[in-house]
Amino acid sequence: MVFFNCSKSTSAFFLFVLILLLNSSNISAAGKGKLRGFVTDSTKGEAIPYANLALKATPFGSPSDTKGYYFVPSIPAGRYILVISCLGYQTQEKNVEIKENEITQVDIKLVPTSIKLQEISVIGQKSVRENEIDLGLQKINASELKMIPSGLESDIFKALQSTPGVSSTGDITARHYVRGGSSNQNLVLLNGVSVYNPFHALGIYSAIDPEMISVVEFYKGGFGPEFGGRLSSVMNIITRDGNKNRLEASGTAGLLSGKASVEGPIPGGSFIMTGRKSYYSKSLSKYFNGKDTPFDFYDASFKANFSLPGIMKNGKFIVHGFLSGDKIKNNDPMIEDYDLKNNILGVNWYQVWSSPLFSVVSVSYSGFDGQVIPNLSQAKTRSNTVSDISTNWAFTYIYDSKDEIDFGLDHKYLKTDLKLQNLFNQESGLKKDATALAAYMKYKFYRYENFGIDLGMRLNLLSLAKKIPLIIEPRFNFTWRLSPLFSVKAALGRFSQEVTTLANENEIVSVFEPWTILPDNLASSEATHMLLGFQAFLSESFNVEVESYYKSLKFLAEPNMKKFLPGDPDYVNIDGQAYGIELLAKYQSNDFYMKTGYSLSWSYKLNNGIKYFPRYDYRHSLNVLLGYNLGWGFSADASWTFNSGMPGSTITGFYERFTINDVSSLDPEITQPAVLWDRINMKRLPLYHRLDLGLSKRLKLDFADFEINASVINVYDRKNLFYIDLKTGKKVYMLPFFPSISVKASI
Amino acid sequence: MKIKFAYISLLITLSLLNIACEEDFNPKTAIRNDLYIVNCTISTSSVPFSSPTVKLLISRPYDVNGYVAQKLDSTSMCINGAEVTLTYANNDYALVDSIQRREKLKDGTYRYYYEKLHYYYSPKMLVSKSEYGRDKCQIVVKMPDGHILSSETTTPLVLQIESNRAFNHGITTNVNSFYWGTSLTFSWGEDIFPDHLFFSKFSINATNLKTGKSFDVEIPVKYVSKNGQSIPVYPNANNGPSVSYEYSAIDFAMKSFASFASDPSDISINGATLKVSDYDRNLAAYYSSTNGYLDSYSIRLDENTYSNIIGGLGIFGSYKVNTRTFPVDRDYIHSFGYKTNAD
Repeated sequence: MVFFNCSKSTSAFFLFVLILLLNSSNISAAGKGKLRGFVTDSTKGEAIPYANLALKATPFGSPSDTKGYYFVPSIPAGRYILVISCLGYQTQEKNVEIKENEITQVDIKLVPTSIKLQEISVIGQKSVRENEIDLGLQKINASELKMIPSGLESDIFKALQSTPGVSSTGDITARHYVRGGSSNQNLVLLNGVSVYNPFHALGIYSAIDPEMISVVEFYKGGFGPEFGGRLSSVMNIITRDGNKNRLEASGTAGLLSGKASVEGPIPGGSFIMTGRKSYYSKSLSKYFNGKDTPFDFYDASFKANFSLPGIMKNGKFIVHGFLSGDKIKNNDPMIEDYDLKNNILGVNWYQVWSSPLFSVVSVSYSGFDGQVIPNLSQAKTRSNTVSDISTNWAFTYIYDSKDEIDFGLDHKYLKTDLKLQNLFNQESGLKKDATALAAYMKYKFYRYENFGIDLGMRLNLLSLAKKIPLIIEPRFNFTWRLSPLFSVKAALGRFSQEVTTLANENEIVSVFEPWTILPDNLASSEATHMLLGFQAFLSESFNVEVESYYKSLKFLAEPNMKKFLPGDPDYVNIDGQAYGIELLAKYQSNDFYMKTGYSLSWSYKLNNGIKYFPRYDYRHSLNVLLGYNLGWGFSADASWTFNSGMPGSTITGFYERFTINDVSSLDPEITQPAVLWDRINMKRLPLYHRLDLGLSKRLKLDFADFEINASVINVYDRKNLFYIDLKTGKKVYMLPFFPSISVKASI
Repeated sequence: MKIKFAYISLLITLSLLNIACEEDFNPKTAIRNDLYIVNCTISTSSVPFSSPTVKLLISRPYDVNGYVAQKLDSTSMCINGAEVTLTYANNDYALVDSIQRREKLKDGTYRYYYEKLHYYYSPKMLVSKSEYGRDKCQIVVKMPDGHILSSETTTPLVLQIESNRAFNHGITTNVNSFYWGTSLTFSWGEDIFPDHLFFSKFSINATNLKTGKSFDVEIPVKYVSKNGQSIPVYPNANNGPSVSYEYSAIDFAMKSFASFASDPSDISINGATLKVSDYDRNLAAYYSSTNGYLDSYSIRLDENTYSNIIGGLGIFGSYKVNTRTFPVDRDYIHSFGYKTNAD
């Protein structure tokens, strides 16, 4: 734990806040009132994120946030018609009266439509706030997840891989890389709590069941000061609240796992519980080149939300938990076993205060426990435990000028314990615990209709690593609407990271990636993001976004590939760079949905003066996602992915490598032929492309609703090269033609 | 209309079949002809002032068809005519290329006296100046094209091997397990060589009195049960200062001698030997980089083989084989029906 003297920095920070507060208080609020409330689903009572609320024939309006909360400040007193729209729901109009110097509370219940595609298009709609600052942000809801042909399991991480700027190194991994950053630079939050191992089955699937997801906010870069601790991206997953109106249960049977969920009302709120369990499936062997792999995984989650109006008016409490476990149990003492677990427990308190102040206070625990149990095999013992106790205070104050200020404190106590056995069978360990404390502030200038700016900073008061990270992380983001159809956006920010994984990016299948606070000899990792882009609404149903980025990475913690002796360091600091341009086009009509993403990107790392491209450095990447409502409960979808070749290492010959057979009588003449590798990742593999198709049918019977999903992966059986097995000389390909089906029943 | 539809379908099908095909990919780049590989080991023993032996091999990279490394005829990648100088304990030795010991035949071909065509050796006995080791060694290899490769190493010390209990009459497992534990432990100092690697081999030597043949049985550290069968577990390479053998494993190995003769009394137990090979930091690093095994699921695409050869690839290292013999307790031998040398 490091505490530093930051009197000058702190003074500057608070002076900055004060200036903004004074500046905002000058805006006159005379003769004006405010409007606020929650938008919920009329059938389930669940919050509806990103609904548009607009006062008809006025410029006043606001979108709802991820909790369904909205707030419209500074409305001249009078009678208005409030129009609430959200694709997937019937548009509603409601008469409201705004009174001078008062906050009018209007809670909205929207009636859902039953067409799947309309639900999906909630993400494509134009925000009512046209100076919305959302560069680098993708919003994905559960319906979009269902759009992507699922194969064995639908998956949030797989869905993200169709987003420009997000790449993976193969069909069999859910690990993702964002704009040239390593996978351990991605922060995954579940209801605001860090998830340290968000994967099942050695990284093939995410551990987070898509059935429980309400909305995902995915920041590809330039994220605000409310997020810290990672260099590349933030995935903020918010789970559903559960049906507030009636008890509901559903079950799904897929090829790999079965899952069930129960949700329903409780006094003052609702609950939801989900569970998923794998069953032994030979189908997974396709992912491991025919190797039979006795996986066993489960995950379970619960969330209960309730209000206590008698005690805390306009307050809401949420208690949530998540468990996941992965085992590989070989039942053979000569083969190693694996055991990985995640545990999360959190409490959130949301409060809308009588002033236009909204607060969220949360306390959480996130634990990870993983180990490789070698038994009597040659595998090395590895174990890792992570205990993360976090407390967050977040406040949002909305001024009459429409400006907003977000401020808060993030406190984290983190304990990591990494035990390894090196190739000398010598135990080594890295046990650390520390407390981090960060204060942040973000001022959002929304007062000008065509112009929005977020000015913020994150102040690291206490740090986890011995070598302190950036003390001040400035964050800047702006949107300038040049015309009703066209806006320019930019963002700039600095970021730091003090934890890392022991991950070798050149391992194409990696069993487990243990986390640790950075060792004392390493500097904290730093990144600078520069983003510039524009968004064009070419019609109400078609919009195009273009984003370019430059990312500078410093002091990245990389496993020391030249660690041969016990005394050699486990990690070394290296630098990197990434830049590129991305295009995203979305079109939607009542029956048709299209999302096309293209990215042109470069990323490289610099290790000891040697520049190399990481395996996720695709030069070109194109994803096309199509959905069509066929009627009678049928819908069809397709996705096509095209990537230019990913980097691969090359062979510059073979040589006779001295082999130690008889340990007490060495003879250099006893050799085995071996590969002589060229410099890392100097060549590109062939092009990758794949077409997936899906068809789903909804059936409504008296006793239950059914949804049958059929999908085919790699329809035209493209032989996408995964790697060349140099033991056999055979080329190993990614997933072949692979049909699958799942059935979901809800009562 | 139907014909148009058929044409379009055919076109789409053909296109899909075309793009489904794999593309040719060759992971090879040009062979590096300017690269040389030198592997040289110096072997010493725990016998004071004994003469170390040095073995050295020089080779170059080669190509084969396909991507699987294959062994070639050694002549095609051997390097001859190099000037090799070894400095051992401040004495310089010129290593001679065995290929020079050849005889030109009348038909213009050569007859080689050694099969080891690319084997360099010292024609003179190396002299260790130290009773316990720690001799500094250096090699300098000047290739025929003028390319120079070099490296350094230091020979290991002699290890003082001790057992965890003193046996008055030799090794036996008939001991008080509450006091002596359930295993026999040999140790050789504590953490004095953190970068060294030790390989232990504990064996019992016996003779079949009828045939006169002697043989060794290596003792595992323990036996484990797998599918109803006992599987021996032998010691791994490690840099710890000791190794332990379960008494039950010693008993199990002793019983196994009975299978070498029809009558146990035909077996004579001669004694037990523990050999501990001590690899210096260079050989230890090389061994760990070439014998690394993470787990059965991780798939790595590259490998980093340790090299301490300046100007090329390969390894220059030294090791010492420390040997200690122990008698085996007479009563213990008799309990299996075997004989001792004295019987």
